[in-house]
Amino acid sequence: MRNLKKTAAVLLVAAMAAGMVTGCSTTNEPTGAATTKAAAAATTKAAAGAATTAAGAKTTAAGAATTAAKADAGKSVTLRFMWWGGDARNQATQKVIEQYQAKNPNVKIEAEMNSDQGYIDKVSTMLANGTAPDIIQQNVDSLPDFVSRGDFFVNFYDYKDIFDTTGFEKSFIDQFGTFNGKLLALPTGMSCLATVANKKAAETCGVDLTKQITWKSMLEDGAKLHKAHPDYYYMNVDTKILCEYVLRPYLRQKTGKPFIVDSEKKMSFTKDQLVEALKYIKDCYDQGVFEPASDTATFKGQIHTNPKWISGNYVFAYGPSSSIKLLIDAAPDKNCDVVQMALAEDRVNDGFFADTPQYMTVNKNSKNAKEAVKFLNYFYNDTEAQKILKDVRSVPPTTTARKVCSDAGLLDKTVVKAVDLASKLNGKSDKGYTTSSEVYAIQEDMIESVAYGQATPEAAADNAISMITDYLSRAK
Amino acid sequence: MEKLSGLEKLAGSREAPKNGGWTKRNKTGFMYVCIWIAGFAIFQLYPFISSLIYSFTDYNIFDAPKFVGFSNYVKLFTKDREFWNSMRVTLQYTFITVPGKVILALIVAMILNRQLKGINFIRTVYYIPSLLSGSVAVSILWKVLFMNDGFINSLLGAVHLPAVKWLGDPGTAVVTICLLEIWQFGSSMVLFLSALKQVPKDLYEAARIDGASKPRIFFKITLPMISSIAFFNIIMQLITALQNFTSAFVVTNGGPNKATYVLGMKLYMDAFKYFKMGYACATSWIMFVVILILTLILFMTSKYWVYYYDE
Repeated sequence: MRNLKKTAAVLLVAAMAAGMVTGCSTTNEPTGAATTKAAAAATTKAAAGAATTAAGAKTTAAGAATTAAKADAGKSVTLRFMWWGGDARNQATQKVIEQYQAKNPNVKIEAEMNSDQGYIDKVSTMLANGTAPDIIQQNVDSLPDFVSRGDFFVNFYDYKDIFDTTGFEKSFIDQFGTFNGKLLALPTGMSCLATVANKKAAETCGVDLTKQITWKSMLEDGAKLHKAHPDYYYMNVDTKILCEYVLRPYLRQKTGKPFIVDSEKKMSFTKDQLVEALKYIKDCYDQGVFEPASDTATFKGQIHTNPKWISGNYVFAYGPSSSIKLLIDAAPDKNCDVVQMALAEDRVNDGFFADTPQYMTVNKNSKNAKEAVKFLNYFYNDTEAQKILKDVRSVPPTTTARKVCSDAGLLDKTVVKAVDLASKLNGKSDKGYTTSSEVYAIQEDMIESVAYGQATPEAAADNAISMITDYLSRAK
Repeated sequence: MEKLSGLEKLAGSREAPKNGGWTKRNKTGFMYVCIWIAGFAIFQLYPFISSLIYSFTDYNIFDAPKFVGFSNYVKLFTKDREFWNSMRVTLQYTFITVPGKVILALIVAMILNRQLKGINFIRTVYYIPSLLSGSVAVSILWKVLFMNDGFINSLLGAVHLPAVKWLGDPGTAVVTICLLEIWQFGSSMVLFLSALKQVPKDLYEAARIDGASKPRIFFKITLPMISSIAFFNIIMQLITALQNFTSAFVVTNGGPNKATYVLGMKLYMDAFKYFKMGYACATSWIMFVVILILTLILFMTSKYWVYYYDE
């Protein structure tokens, strides 16, 4: 009996110990196995590897690449690549990784797929304690904040022999990805803010989709529409969308400047202008242009799941071009179109602009920065990769990719139409202090307090201005 | 040395302890405990002390911390409007959750304090929710249940009551996350059950013989006898409720319009979204002091209503 108890106790201890160990991450094991395998294979495949790498890199740097490949074909390398996305994007990116690994057997790329929730928090913690992956997809709003806090990213202009930037329009990468003359991030596509229209709802409510929307017309038409058809609403939004799609563009069209001018660390608007913008939003809520905030609170961040959109009771919805498909798929009959964003008749600037949905960056402290840059060159400039990636990150950013994809009919025409509409506008990007987490939260708070009727536009504006002033006094 | 007689062995050795009390028994005991002490020192004592130090610095995890004295605390109390809102929300949440949970646990314990077939199964069923405390999955489930067209509103509709905007209305959002916590009353209930069982039966008999009414028996006999366990429950639930984060974060994400922005959430946002680590540490120490004060108040008033029957 005593022996039985003893054996049982030992078994339980062993089970507990095993349980502890399984909690540890096992990502190191496959790396170890892969690197030993790759090292063994690399020596025999050195010549073959160099040949295929030279064939794969169809860039002007091919000559330099061959010599570089021959030089370190024997070295096995593991790269960590981190991104967020849905199924389509994950599958496409995985396929490109596999193709690259087939052409470069000495390179192994570990994919770290994530959800977009909590992604920025994860990246910021990794950057701060030096455990960041080699290749990181970055959020456009938060990247300027990271850049200001340290030298974390590789300057792609330092690797002109490995990475070909000629496919990008210079004006595009100057606005998106260049910080103080250094190309620290590569835009992954051309995107924009879009207004998606449900054609059937527009017909039912008598909305003319060919008429240009202005802020004034949105308020008037939306109020009239809701009065005539109480189950219908004009625009599907949530309080976070209103920051980027209404509050800031309204002010940008008035002042011609971004919300916060980073170089001067000052707000570009007056208190009266801010009160006007907030009053506009309040009126839209009060007069039925937007569904009441308390009803849409649960769909924040996922307005395509709003049952009223799914049942076709909204005429329009706001969304980034990379989510147009989500909105269209959720609408009844998928019968949608895109129209131009709202433009004030007396604007000094269009406010809206063609944007990029994400960035790709390479960690400067990576031991294999060169290999990482090489992979990104394949990612962006190789024809096969371009065809696989098509528009999982919106319209491709390079002219070559756009031509390849449109020739093969791989781009969604609504997304292309939205980006085309945006590229005609002369607005300038306002990423920077304006889009840091703290300022974004202040924008959201003032909209929410007005939307829920818990503060007047004047009080909300006062509060926001004092909080932004406090933030700017601390900002680097 | 002569052998100690049995009686002398029992009474303990008359000689002075060798090694300053470090006998073999003490050594063995210490070895068993030192693992826990090591874990406590690394995972609780060290963060505890370092957070106090960080609360006097301006630390954004990318650069080294800069000493700023009490300015974090001063800012929290004088300039930060969100702090007072969060404090109000946290106290509101606590003073709905704790009485709700404890009273409900007591009522259910009293109902289940009988010998019936399958009573153990019923008690287990009521206990299971408390196993899921802090679970993100349950919080997501709660969010779906309380949506405008969710299950709860369907139930209300079935009995012809108007639907409530549980998660959308700033007034009712706090109630929704309080309900999540109150639903997990099982652990308190189990403690109350055991306390109820320990009330001497002869007290009840004597009361019945004297003709006392049921409410009188409850207030004059049952409550005083279980007051020590009730006191324990109240203190433990108070401490947990004041530190709540998961349900506020997952169910309502601090909204709508910061109506559920508890202090735990404010701390998280300050630390991990706005990179104000020192500021967040100051917030956490203020929370510690608040919990300490409330607990001390409870302890001091306990001598008026808590009865320990062995003193």
